[in-house]
Amino acid sequence: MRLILAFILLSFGLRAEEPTALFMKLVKKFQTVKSYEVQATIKPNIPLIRILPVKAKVSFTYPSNFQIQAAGISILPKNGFSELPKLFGQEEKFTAIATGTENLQGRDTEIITLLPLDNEGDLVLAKLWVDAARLLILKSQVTTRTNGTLVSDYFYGNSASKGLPDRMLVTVEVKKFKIPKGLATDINRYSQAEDPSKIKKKGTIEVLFSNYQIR
Amino acid sequence: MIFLRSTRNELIKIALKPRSYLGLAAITGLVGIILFALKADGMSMISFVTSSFEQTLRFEGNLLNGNLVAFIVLQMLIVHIPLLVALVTGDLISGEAAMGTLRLLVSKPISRTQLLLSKFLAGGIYTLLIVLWLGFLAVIVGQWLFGIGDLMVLNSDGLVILQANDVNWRYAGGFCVAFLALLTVSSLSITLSCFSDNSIGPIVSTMAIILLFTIIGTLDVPIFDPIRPYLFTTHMASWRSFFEDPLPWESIQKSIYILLGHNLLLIGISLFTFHRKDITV
Amino acid sequence: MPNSIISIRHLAKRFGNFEAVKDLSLEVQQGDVYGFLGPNGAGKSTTMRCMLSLIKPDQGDIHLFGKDIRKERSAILARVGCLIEKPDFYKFLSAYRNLDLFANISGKPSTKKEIYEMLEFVGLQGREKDQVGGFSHGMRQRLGIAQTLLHNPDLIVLDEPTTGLDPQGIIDMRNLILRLKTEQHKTIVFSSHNLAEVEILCNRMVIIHQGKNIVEGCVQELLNEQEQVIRVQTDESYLAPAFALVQAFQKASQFKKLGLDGFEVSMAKSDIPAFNQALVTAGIPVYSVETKRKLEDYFINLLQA
Repeated sequence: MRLILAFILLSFGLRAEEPTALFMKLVKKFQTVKSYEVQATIKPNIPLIRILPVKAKVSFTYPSNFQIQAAGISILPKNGFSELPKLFGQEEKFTAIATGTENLQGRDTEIITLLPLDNEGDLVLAKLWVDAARLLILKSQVTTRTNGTLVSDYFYGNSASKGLPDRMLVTVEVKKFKIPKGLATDINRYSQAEDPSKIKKKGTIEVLFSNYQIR
Repeated sequence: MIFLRSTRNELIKIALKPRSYLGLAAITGLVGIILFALKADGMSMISFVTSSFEQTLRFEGNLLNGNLVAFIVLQMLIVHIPLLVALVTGDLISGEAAMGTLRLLVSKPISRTQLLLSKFLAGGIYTLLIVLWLGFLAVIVGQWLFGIGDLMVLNSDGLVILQANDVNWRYAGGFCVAFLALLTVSSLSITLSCFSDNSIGPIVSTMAIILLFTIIGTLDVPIFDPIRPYLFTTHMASWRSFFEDPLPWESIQKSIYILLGHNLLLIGISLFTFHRKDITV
Repeated sequence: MPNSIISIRHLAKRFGNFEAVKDLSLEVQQGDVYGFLGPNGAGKSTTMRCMLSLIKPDQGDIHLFGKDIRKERSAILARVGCLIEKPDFYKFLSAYRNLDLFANISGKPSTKKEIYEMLEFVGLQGREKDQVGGFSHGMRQRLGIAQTLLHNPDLIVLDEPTTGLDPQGIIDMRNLILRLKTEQHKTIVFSSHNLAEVEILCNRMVIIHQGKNIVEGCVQELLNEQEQVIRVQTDESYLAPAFALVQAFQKASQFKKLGLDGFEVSMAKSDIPAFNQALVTAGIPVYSVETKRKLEDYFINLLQA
């Protein structure tokens, strides 16, 4: 019995070191790219918002500074693309624990859950689905006090070696979206607006990246 | 030929009447105030619209641009323009009667039909000038002051963001329909003008009818449902349909037909009334 | 009728319960200065307005220049100049601009020179560019005449053209009508309250009362049918012999003292010279013999009848 208990504790202890190491490897890989520019096509598909895809130029500067230049209006998740870079820049503030495995995009991934060490910060919980073999994050789920939960899927191509995705799919919750009726200007419309109960509760923002210019 | 000369006469009278410039001055003043307010504090106005979306999303780019400013200006002013149009067009027949010049006009060798149609045409041209002036101030001056950008429009079923290069034709279409709606106001006031021998009556009556129809149109009472789609006031805001995506072309067409129908009906009533009218003043 | 400029037959017009014109007929010949006489509300203006198609008659036919006003309105009105009631113009426009606007739709647009000449003709030279809002009633009346004449019409219709004018304005207007008659041989129809004016200016007239044509004809013939009243001024002491003479002069009647030294007596126009001769023969000093205008009496008698 004692032997079994010792084995279990040892197993957890061993596993507890692995996710931290994996996370630190990810951080290291992230730190190799100090700045880059990339052409992006942003395709929001969000209930209650109709917008055509927008082309933009995204500039990144280490550690988490993103600049987006678009000809017109574009819609992004509230924190833009900086959710993950922010995590990587504060690696000492979390405890990384392994919480399972999952097959994503046809690859086995390790699920690392990041728990903040203090209760004061904005981050509540973060989960990363990591392709350990290629050292790539295939999915992230970040829950913050201010922005709620944001789920992102990452798809890689030519720039996978630098950890830079070719495509990113961000899922956002839109259940709190409200049309301020008093400000809606089509007052004379006599066709009914869509039944609120039929409006989807989630939307996506798909971003296609191309032509990375890494400096 | 005499019809064109009569139309020229009517335009000269409108051009030289101080009242005609009241509308243009009012539009200039109102647009100036709106542009100033938007320049000073436009973003807070926009945040009323975007606040619920910004809980999880971020809008990148110049939201407060000339296209949005023009849209806001039109949205705010288009309900007031009928009064400014009626101030001039409601006076075209009754004003002549009140001044005593109607008996001189009608005793000239121009038919009453030509005389009345020349007044309709002149009223229409004045209305067009008002719309063009509003368009110039809203779109051209708006774009000059605030720059060009994508247009964000809030409809009752959500936000529509239209790309800058997709906006100008929508404004052109919107202005055409807005002109048609205001032309209906012009026709209504001229028609009422045929029934009156004083200047104020037709102007006040026009506004009263617009107010009444608007109230009927917005009251959520089922008994008005059958007539609501046929009230011209229901279609006065149809210019907005050009800023929906996808374009509700059928609805726009219906509005155009109904507004044209109103104009034809009003011109018909005017001709009938004016032909039978005894000029006793 | 070849020279008939205006022919009205059985005209009737009702406004609600009020019959403004009842079965009115009249005829105006080319070159006539034709007077419309009648009290207020008699139907003079309504008849004129019907002639100009301002009012649609309920019954009757109106022919101007031999053409039916209902069928050939534009062709007829191109030959008519009119000034109905007050001379109303666009107050915010200049005299020139007002004339230009009306000329544009008068069938014959006028040149700037013609308009300036017409303004000079009516005595408004130098005021061409002034706004009509600042004009006196007399000036507006003259502008009204200019508007009436600008397109050189064959028929001129004037509705009470001297109303509201000062004495000089009335004289100017009368002279203008006489000039149009004698120099330009225009046919003129005008209505007036002033009986003396009609007597002086018109060769023919119609008296309208309660919408009806009471009498129509040549002014002088109508007056000659009536006895004339003459006023004689003599000395106070000769009034008694004068009265005796009137009684003896069988063709005179209705002797009436006028003040201390005058009297009034009625007789046919043709007997006046003989009566005057009789007074002188009787040694009665005659300081003046004056015929009292009879139209007023004639008009009142007709209306009372």
